[in-house]
Amino acid sequence: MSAHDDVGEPLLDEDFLARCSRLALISRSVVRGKLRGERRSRRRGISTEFADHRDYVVGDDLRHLDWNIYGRLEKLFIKLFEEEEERNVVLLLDASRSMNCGEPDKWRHARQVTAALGAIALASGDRVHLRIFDRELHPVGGSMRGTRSILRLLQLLEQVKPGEATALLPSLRAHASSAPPRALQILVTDLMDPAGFEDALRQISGGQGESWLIHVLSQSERNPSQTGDLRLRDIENDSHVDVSFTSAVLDAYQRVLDNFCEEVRQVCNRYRIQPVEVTTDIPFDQVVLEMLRQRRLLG
Amino acid sequence: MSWIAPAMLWFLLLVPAVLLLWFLKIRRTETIVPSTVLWSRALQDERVRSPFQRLIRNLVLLLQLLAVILAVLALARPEFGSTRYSSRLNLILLDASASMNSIERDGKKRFEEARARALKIIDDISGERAVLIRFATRAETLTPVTSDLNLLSDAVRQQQPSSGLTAFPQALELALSIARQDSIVPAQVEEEDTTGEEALAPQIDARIFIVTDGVLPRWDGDPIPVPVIVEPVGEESSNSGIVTLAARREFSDEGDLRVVVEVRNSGDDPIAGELELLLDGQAAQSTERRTLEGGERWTRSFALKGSGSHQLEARWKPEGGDALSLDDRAWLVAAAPRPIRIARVGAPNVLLDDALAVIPSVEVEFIEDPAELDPETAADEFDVVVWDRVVPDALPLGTGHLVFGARPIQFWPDEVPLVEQPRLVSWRRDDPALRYCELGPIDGTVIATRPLPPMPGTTMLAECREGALIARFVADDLRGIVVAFDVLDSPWPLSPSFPFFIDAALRDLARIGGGIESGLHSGELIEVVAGPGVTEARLVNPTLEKETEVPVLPGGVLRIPADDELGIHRMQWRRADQDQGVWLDRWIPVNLLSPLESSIEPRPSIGLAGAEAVSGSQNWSQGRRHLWIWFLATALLVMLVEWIVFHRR
Repeated sequence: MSAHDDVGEPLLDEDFLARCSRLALISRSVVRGKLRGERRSRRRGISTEFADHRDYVVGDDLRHLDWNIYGRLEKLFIKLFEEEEERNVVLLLDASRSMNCGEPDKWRHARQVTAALGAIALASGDRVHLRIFDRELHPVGGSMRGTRSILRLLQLLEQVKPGEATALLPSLRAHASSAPPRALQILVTDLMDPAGFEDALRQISGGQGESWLIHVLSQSERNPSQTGDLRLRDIENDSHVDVSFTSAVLDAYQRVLDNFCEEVRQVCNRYRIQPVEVTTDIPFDQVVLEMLRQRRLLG
Repeated sequence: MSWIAPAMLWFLLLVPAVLLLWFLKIRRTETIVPSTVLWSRALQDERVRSPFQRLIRNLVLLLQLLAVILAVLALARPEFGSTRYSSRLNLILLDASASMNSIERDGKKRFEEARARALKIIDDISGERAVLIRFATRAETLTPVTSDLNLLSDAVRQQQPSSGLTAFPQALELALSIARQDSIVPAQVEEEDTTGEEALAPQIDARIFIVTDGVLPRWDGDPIPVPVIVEPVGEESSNSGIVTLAARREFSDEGDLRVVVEVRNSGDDPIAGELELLLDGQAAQSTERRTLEGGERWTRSFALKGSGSHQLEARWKPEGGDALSLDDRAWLVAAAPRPIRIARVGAPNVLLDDALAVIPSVEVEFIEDPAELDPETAADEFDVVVWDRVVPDALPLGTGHLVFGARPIQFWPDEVPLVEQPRLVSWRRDDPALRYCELGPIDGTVIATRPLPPMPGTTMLAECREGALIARFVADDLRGIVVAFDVLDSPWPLSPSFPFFIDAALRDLARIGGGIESGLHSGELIEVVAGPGVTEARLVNPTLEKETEVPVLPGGVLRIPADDELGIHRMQWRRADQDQGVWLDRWIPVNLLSPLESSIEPRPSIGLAGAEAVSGSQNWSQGRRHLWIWFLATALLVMLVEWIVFHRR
C-alpha cells in the first residue's frame, strides 16, 4: 500500500502543462458536442469544411447551391459542409482502495495521467468531465472547458481521496446512463474487481463514441519481489490468501497476470476500447508523451 | 531388534513438538495487496500445474519428523537381531589365577583392570542374558543365567584374585556345558522331510568372553561352537620366582633331606636376588646371591640334616621386588617318616627277608600260614602284605599287596603257560616302583616263570614277549604289584636293584612316601584320612589367625579346599578316644610353584585349538551389530535432504 501521497507536490508541473498546450487527444471517430467546437462532427453543418453534395430539394438554402457543377452538368446540387462542434472528454478515474496500494504509488500515478490527459483535452478546447468512482460513481466538479479549467481540474484531482472497494459494473453503468453522447471516455483503473471487468467495460463500449482504457498496475503487482511465507490481505474486502513465495508460485502468478492482461486486451478489442497498459515504474510524462503518442492517441 | 537404552524412546514426544513448531513456524507475515484475486488464481494454477508442490511443502515436515524419529531411535541404541539377540547368552569367564595378582606399572593389580573390563562387558550386553564364571584352580559359576546387570556387576565387584593355578579348560568346559544346556532346539519339521536326513543340531546362541592376561593352559578339547572374544589385560612382564621346591629323604637310616629349589626369571631383563632356605624358621644355609638373565632357570640343591618333622621355606628376594610376590616364597613339610608295617606271608625266604631287613623304617611281621592273616583286620594292622609264592583267592581290601612268584586269580583267573628264561623287552622306568631300579639282572636269567598277560585293571611294568614279569593291579580299594617269578629262580636278589625295588614298591603301596608333603596349590582339596573316631576338625591358616571348621566325612576323612593364603596350613582334629583338649594335627603346605603363573607376560592370543578367538575389545563390539550409527547417519542424511528441499522450493 502506498503510504506517501507526495503532499505538496503538484500533480503536473508548469513545463509539462506548457507541453500539453501543443497536444490534442486524437479521436478515431468524429465526436459531437452541444456547441460548435473545434472538432469535426458527423453532422453536416455550416462550417467552411466541405463534406459532400446532395440533390437540391425545394426549400434548400440557395446560397449553398454549387453553381460550378450546375454549369458543367446543368443539375442542381447542394454543397454540404461539416459542422465543427466541441468534444466531450469524460475522465473516469478509479478511486477505489486498490488504487491506493502498490509500489511505486499507483494512486498518484493514475491521477497524474488523468490530469495530463484532462489538461491536454482542456488545452485543445474539449469539454472535460471528471468522474470518480469506487463502489459507485461520483461526478466531480461538473464539466470543464477551456485552459482556465486546467487549474481547477488539477485541484480536484489533488483533493480527491481513495474511497471504498471497487464496483466497476454499477459505477460504469451509472456513468453510461448519464454520459454525453459521442464522448471520448478515458477510464483510468487497475480493473481489480472481484466481480470481473468484462461487463463493466461493455458499458463504455466505443460504439457511440471512443473509449480508452488506461490500465494502471504498480510495479509490485507486475513483478512481485516478496519472499518467504506471507499472508496477502486484500485491501478492499479484507480477505486473505496464504502464499509461500516459491519460484513455482511466482511463475504461476506471472502466468495469471499475463492472462489477465491478455483478457483485458481481448475484451477491449471486442468493445472497441483502446487499451493502454501502464505500470507505475514508468514516469507518467513518459506514458503520456511517448506511449500515447506512439499509439497515435495524442497528436 | 532390541534397544539398549529404551528409555530414550520417550524423546519421541519431540514429534508432536515438531508438529507444534511447524504450525507455529508458518505464522505468516501479513502484507496488504490491491487484490487477492490474481493470487488466488495463481495458487490454483500452481496446484494444478504442480500437484506435488503441496507434497513437497509437506515433505519438509515429513523429513523433519523422520529426522527426529531417526535421531531418537539412534539414542535408544538399537541392536539388530530382534528376539534372537535379546536372548543371546553371554558367558563371561573371569581369570582370577595367581598371575592376576601382578602389580602393573600404574601400581594397580592386574585383576583390577580385569574387573573393570568385565564390568564394561556387562554394561555393553544390556538386554541380553549372561552368566559369570570365575576360574583359578577351580572354575565356578558366580551367578545364575540372568539378565540382571546389577547382579552380574555386584558379583564382579566382589571378586578378588586367587593364589591358585588356572583351570582354564575346566572353565571353558563349564561354559560350553551351560551354553549347550541353553541351546535352542530347532523347530520340528514335517516328518517326511526329515526321513533319511540327520536331525538338525541344536543352535547355540551364545558367545564367550574371556577376561584374562592370557597366562592360560592351552585348550585341546573339542572345537568351540560359539564365538570366543578375548579381553586381554595386563602389561607388566618382568618377574622372577620359585617354580620348584622339592625334597626327598636320602636312602639312609638318618633320613637326611635333599632339597631342590628352582628359581626362574620369566622376564626379559636380568634380575638379581638372594635365595634363602629356612628350616623351621632358621636359616638352614647361607644366603646365596645370583643374577638371573632373562628366561634363565637356576636350580640349587641343598643337603640338610634332620630325620624328624621339619618345616622348610625357600625365599627368593629379588632386588627392588618384582611384579608378582606370590612366587617369591615356597614351603615344604618333611614329616618324620612312620615305619611301614609289613606282613610277610609265606615260607621263609632268605633272600627276600634279607632285602626287607635292609629297608629303613619298616616293621615286618612274619606269617608263614596265610590263614593266620585276618583279612578283616589286615588293613588296620598292615600297610603292605608281602606274599611270597602264595596268595589267597581273595586279597584283603584296604592294604597294599606285593606278590612274589604267585598269580592273584582275581585279576588273572586263567592258567598261564610256563616260559623258560624269558627275555625282557621293556620296563616302565617312570613307575614309582621302578624309579631307581635297573632290571638288567632279570633279562633272560629267570629260570622259568609264567608271564602274566594284560588283563583289565592291570598294568605291565616289566614285560617279556609272552607277558609281564612285573605287573601292577588296581581295583576298588585293592592295589598291588606282582612279580611273576620266584626270586629264588633268578639272580635279581643279588643285585642292588632288588632292595631298591622293594623299598620303592613298599613305599608306593603303603602310600606313605618319605614323609615329604610337597604341598598343594591354592584352591585344591586338602584331604587327610584321620581315621574313625574323629569328632571335630579345623583348618588353621599359616598365620594362626584364622580357623575354619572342617566337616568330618565317613571314615574320618577330612576334606576342605585350600584357601588363597599361601604357607603352611594346619589340619587339626580331635578323636573321641582321646583327651578333648588334645588336637592331632598335620601340616599342609600351600604353594604357587607354577612356571606358568610365574610367567606373567600378557599374551594377547590364547590357544583355543580349532576355535577362533576374537582378540581385543576393539573388535568384539563390532559383532554386536549396533544400529544406532546407521540411524544417526540416516537422520543426518534426511536433514541434508530436508535442507535441500526447503531451499529448492
